[in-house]
Amino acid sequence: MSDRALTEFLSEAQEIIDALNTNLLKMDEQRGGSVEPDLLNECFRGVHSLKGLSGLFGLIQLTELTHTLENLLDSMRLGRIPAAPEILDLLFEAVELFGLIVAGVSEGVEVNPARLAEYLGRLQLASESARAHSHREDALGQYQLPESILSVLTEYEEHRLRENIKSGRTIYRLHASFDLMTIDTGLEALKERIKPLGEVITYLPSADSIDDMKIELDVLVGAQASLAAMRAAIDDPEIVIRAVPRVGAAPEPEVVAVPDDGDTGAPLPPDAPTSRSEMVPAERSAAAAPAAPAAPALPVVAAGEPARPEPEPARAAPQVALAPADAAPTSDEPLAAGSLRSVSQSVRVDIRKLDALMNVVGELSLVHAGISEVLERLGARIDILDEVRRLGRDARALERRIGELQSGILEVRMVPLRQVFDKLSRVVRKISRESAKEIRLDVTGADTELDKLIVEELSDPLMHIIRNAIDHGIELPEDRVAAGKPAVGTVRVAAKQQGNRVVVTVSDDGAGIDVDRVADAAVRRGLIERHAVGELSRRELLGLLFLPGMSTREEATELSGRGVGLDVVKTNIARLSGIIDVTSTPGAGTEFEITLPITLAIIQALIIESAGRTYAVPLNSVLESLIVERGDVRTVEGREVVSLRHQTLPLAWLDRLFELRRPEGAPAAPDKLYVVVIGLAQHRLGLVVDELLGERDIVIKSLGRALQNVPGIAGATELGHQRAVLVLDVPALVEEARRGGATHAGEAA
Amino acid sequence: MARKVLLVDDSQATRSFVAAALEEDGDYEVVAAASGFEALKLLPREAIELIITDINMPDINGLEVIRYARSHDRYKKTPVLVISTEGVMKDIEKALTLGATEYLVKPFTPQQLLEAVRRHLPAS
Repeated sequence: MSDRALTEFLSEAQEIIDALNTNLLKMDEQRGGSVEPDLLNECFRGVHSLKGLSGLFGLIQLTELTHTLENLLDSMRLGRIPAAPEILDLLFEAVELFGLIVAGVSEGVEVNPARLAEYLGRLQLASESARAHSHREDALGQYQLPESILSVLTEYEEHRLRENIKSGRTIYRLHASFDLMTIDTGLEALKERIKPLGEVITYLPSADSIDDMKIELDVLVGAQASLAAMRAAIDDPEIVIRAVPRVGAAPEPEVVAVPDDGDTGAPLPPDAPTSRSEMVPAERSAAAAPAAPAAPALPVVAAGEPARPEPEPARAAPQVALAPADAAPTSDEPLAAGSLRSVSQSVRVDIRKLDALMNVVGELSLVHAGISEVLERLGARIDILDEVRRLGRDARALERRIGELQSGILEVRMVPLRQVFDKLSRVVRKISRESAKEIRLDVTGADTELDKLIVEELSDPLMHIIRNAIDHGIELPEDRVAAGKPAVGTVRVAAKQQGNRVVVTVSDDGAGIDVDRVADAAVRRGLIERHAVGELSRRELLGLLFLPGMSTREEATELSGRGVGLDVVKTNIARLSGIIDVTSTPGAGTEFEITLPITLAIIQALIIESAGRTYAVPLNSVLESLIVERGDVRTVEGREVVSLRHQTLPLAWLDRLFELRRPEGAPAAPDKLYVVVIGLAQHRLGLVVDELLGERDIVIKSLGRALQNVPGIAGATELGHQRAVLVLDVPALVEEARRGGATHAGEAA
Repeated sequence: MARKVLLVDDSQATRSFVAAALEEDGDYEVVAAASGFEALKLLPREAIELIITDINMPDINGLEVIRYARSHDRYKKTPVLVISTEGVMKDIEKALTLGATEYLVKPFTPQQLLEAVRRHLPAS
């Protein structure tokens, strides 16, 4: 099998599994009530397709799983097995197994056969509980449905029809005519109007009116609404709505073909008279309406196709009376050109290809920077003033285009956080099942978009925090009730965009963190001196949770679990140039706040100089730049600070942090200091540097394995003319300075 | 000239699989539709010589595609091959009643598919 075919298969399989998960989650929300039939059918269809595919690709485990699962889902969608909570749990397990199997396929490994067999056994058992389907009093018999309709309904559609009849809904038949070129939008609009009224059972293309330009459709709908209400809601004289007559009522006349000659005033004969007062023939209104053209007067262009400036008279001629000729497509339209064209407008792209493109953008920026530098040097040359101006104009145009290219690529990389949030819901279900705690997961802001790579990397840290919240934050139901809280605990995950960052918060309404115990544990682990504890604020004490020594299992239990692996979480978040913060109120709960940049691919940076060396500071962590008089620097508790708008800003000399030696003869202590205020969230630091050189767009490149963990350095970048420059790691610097502060405080006491 | 086959299936991977079998191994041209609607749009404007369709598709199912084709003068006698997974025998029976020529149950090999197509539409 070709690699490409396999990649395509894996990608489609993953899509099906993700959709299955999403649909199961939706069903889970409807727990207790009746489950939306569409959701079940979507699940069935997904698994059905996957089964077909895994068969084609000879994947035995996947075929077994999809086969057994399909049986269960088939019984469910046909109403033989209710969507009970234990069945949903069983289905969620399938999503996990699918994930394992599909991940294994690309590596050529199989899932433990015993595990699969055990699960298949349980699925089988559940399937066997299906109620035998009885057609004893077939609901379909209540209606006069012509064989022409019944013969094209799939088993599932028949079932839905039956269910609609059983629940007392009226079955309607809507007849609409669509222009071939506008059917997609026209149909979507119709669907939207039908949705609130009832269920679309199927769309039946009217076979008797084959026309190259139009499609006539009968839509079979089950609805509670009266005919008058249906007509009011659809509100379109072109669409003929009729109730399918019940047995005993006068027979429904078969739909008569719409004449092609332009006489479209009355597409259908009037309904036969019936005893039901609401069955006013719709045709009257249709007939009263002028014979409006069925197609809009403006040419409608199919997505992705250029407008055809000229109609093709030969083909359009017979249609002239009915549809304006300019809407008529021609047979050689690229619509069907290319053998595998599909209507879908999206493509799947390997993120590495986007990375490569982004690198090209980075290189282009460098070229632009180089041109700008040359321009600057040429600036004063009177003799070539015109040429310099023209070059300047071109350079600015180049800069603008690079900017557009860059934002275009960035946009493509953006995916909604929903991708990872959906997975979280699954984990929450699983953990709450295991821990005998009832948990409600409340997710908001799932549509917030972030760089695909960040979204993927966020998954583990979030799971970790949520697991901690459930395992150790939220109390057992009886304890919660005793504390006057609802028995069901709530975990909230919320995301929102703030400027060029995204803030994700995970909060719970559990017991909160006992800081005294955190402090005790930190002292015992030797992370902090006992006498220093009193000097630390509550916030600083909570910060101890992120220290590496706090992360053992043993300590975890002692601390009611908080701190399990939080140093790892912090490291992962820092790798994404993000920061994590925790606040907690005893008895009321804990909140973690993660602040992330929207993308890592390309960033704006402030270029600075210190002790003769050049560095780049990511601009998204630069709050402002200041010039400070040396005389304004004060020393508080052994630290140099300045007062900035009535707040104390700690200072750090970059050359001292990196232990740089100043070049011989450099002025030792200038009177004015350049201070770059860097910070994330509430932690700020004034970085003292020698020079501010300007802003640039940079692509951060890794330093390679040997230099990967140099503290304070996030990577390297090029500044044109092959000048490599180190990029400062702001979160690490801020952290370093804070920790320095804490030790100082400890020593002072 | 390669003979034109319409393939209706909502799975991209199945479309690729079938297209590869018919275009690379057999000398056919595959026009693919990702839904029943697309098929309806394509049928009047393409000179299709054989139709391959899945049954279970949203909105317009494969049965409707078959009936639609059969009611079109041009497609009254065009061979229709139904590809479906097992377990939907009732639907397959309906397809045959509506005029489908043959059905293939997934999984099938590219060779089996090609043979079935050749039976009804010998390559030119």
